[in-house]
Amino acid sequence: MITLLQAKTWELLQQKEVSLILGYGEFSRKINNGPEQRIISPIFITKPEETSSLVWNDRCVFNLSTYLTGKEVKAHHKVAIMAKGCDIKSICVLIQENQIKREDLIIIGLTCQGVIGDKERPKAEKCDSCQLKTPHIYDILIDSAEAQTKKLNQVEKKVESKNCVNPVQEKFDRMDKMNPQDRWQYCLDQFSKCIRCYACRQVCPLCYCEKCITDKSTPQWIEKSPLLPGNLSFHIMRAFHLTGRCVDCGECERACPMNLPLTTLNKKMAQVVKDMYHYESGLKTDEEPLFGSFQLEDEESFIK
Amino acid sequence: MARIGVFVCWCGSNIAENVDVVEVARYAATLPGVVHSVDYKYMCSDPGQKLITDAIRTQHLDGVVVAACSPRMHEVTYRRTVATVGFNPYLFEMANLREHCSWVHENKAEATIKAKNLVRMMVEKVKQNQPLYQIQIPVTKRALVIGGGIAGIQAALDVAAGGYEVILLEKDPSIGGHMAQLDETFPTLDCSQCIMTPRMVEIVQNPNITLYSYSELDALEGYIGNFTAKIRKKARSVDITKCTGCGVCQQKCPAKVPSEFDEGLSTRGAIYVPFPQAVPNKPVIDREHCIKFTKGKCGLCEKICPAGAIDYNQQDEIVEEKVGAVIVATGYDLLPKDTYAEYGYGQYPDVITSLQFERLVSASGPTNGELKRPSDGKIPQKIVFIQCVGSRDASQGRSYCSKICCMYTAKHTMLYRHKVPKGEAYVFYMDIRAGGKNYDEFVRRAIEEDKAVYIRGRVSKIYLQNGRMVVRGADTLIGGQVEIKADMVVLATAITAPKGIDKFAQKLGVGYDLHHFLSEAHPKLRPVETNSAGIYLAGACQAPKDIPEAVAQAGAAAGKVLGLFGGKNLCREPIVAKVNESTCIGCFICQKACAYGAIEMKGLKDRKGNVIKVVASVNTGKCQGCGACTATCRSNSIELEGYNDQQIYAQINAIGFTND
Repeated sequence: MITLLQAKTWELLQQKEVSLILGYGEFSRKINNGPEQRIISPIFITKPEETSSLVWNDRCVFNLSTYLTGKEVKAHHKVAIMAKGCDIKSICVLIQENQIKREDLIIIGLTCQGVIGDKERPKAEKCDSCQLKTPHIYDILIDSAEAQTKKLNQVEKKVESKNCVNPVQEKFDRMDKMNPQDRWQYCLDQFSKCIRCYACRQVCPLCYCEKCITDKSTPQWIEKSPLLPGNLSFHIMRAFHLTGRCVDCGECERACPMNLPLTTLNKKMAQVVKDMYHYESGLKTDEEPLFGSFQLEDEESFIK
Repeated sequence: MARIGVFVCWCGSNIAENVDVVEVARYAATLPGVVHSVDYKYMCSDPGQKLITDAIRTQHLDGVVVAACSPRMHEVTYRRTVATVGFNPYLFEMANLREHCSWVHENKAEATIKAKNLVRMMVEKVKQNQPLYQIQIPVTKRALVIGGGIAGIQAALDVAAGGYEVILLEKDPSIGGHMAQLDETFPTLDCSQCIMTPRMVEIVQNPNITLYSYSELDALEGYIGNFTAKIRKKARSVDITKCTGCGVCQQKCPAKVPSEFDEGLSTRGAIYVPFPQAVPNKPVIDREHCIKFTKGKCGLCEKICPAGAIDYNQQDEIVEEKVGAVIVATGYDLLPKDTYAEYGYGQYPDVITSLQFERLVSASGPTNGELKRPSDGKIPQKIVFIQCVGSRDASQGRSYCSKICCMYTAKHTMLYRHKVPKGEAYVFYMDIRAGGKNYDEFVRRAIEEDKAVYIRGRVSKIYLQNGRMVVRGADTLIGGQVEIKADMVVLATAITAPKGIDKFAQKLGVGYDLHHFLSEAHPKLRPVETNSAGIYLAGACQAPKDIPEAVAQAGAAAGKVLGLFGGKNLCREPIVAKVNESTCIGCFICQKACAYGAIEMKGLKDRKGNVIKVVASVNTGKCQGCGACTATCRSNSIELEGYNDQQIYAQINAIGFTND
């Protein structure tokens, strides 16, 4: 059976509207010599016949917009991308920051009832507070009707019946309520675990610098070895660099092999920005970036 | 190995009293790379400076640290000093032992330790310094003056007198501004028209001045020395090359429009010259009120014009002018008259504003100078003047003083008494502010010779009693209420920034304050410059001003322009931002953070000429070296020359290092 997604993307390539499609594909693969598993992976499609590999289901967790700033992708004149509401927020920021042009992009918006999380969490944390189940900006819309697995629906019911607290919110509140000393200690404990693999940076759609300040050595502002001082500088710097930009797609935390609470930190910054400047990132393509705009009414109580 | 000289200044006792300067000098000599270290009582004095230049020569120094006062005080001095012996001024740094140390600490031992730290940091920084060279920018030696009131006229004449071309821009059909509306002026009571109109004529007679009347600035691009002004010449609907200024059209025009020049006390036609002495003395058609334009009929002026100058099809025209400097003289507005309902403006016809009073007593006014009140044309026997209407009223968001009202109100009481010798003038005031040459004498004259009655207090209400206005107010000196029957009430309405000036200022990249008055670069030391290089201020656009002040400031702004035009090229400090094009990712957050519009887009091309990457590029003519861009750049691809990462890093590293 050909899905609407496959038909639409076939048409895009066939009529040469785009030369590349960033999407989700499903494959069978052996992992660690175990039994074959069906896995979802980002795929890059340039030929119409390949569109039959494209799928959209609740295991399509990746934020594909991180590839949009890659040289190989930029080499294509026009690109189509499959994107959930949360992913489209990061596309908005990329457009605001001059990294891509809206007219060079066809957004295949995906309505989404939430994607699955890791083993412990059947549903990704970010989905609990999602406001964009139907994307806010798109060119083509693909419905989620058939996409969600039964499992997720069951989980959702279970969660609702138990009246569970939102786990992200819980973690966030816990950190927020700490006194500064405890919070600092908490950060030290967490960041001392970091192994500086930079998976968070590589997966982040908004960490698009060709040369990250972390990799600069004259002078070397950020210590490179995976020890606490450098780890702290790196993560604090990264949180600053994402302030007013992070769209809470959750990819950094998902990619982190050490389970650092990276989204909690970014969420805190987003909350401060929202409280002080009524600014939420990634909602419009033509909005001025937070750090690039100034209004006379801007909060400045921090200037003493 | 570096060869650095350290020069520790006592600043008399300013530093020496609280910092052991001899010890600091001794310590500095032990720092790696320091080959020469001395202390001296006054390093900025002639012998002090000689210590520096001699050491540069004899010790072959490649870095100089002067540990003295704030660089804001003497950085320029020492830069000049070292330059006299051919030493690059940017290989010199100052350690601030006065404002940052001796003045702010009490414990001498601790202050001495801090002083050593400060010196050590600067020694480490200066090791990283690179020679920098002044930036030369070619200058277009023509000036644009925006606004044709007295300030703009004076500025234009002064720049033109220096031998340079001037473009004078006026949004109204005639130059002259508010001053042309005034009757007699304080403190000499000479007639405003008599001193103003010759100046207006000089503008058109001066071969160096091009006047664009009825024109506005659409856009200003470029930077100091190299601006391009896009000027919109609004359609006059009259071909001024054909028009002889005979005036028949305006006499015959059937439309009746309240005259702006007479503050609504008379009417004009839809085709009009604002006042008989207008420059240029050529009419415009006010398309909003013209019957031909609104209803398609009439066309009387076209039929009647003996020169065939009427052109209903004229369109706005955009002209571009290249200029090197801009003087903004956009003037002021008055508070909208209906702001204070309790004073009954609009409700009672005989409550008028001060500017209307000027028109009523002016010989060129609607009554030919006879003081007849608007309601019935009777001569008022009792006038109440109310000062500070909207000024100094924090509750209304205007805490500032309009400055000229005390003086013109005193003048009004005099003019009134001179016209109506038995008339009684009452003035409600908050304070009398008459600072200025012959100003207080003038006010005393109004009180003592012309018998104006000054009542210190605010007016709470104006109401009618048997058809006559009664002004009720407080007299705070006797501590009671007073009620005065009045034939006329004159409101000294506050001076405000013109409406829309904020948008205009944004167009120019000039700052403005809470009340939308344009901001000078420094309230005391750079009062006519703005923070945008090459743009200067004159007159009441900056703050309420009287005529002498506006003229003085216009002259000062012209002086700045002449100074700029006097040199061959413009020399700029090389403390500007610099982009690392290989790591810049082109997010242009720097561009948005830059208050001076100094960041431009630059396409990097491959050998075939294809643009492969767009990066930020600093226009060194516009960059003021503030560093906002460097702070916003996430990939650290933009640095400030003289304060680059290497230098700052060396300084920070030096904090943790001690040699003791």
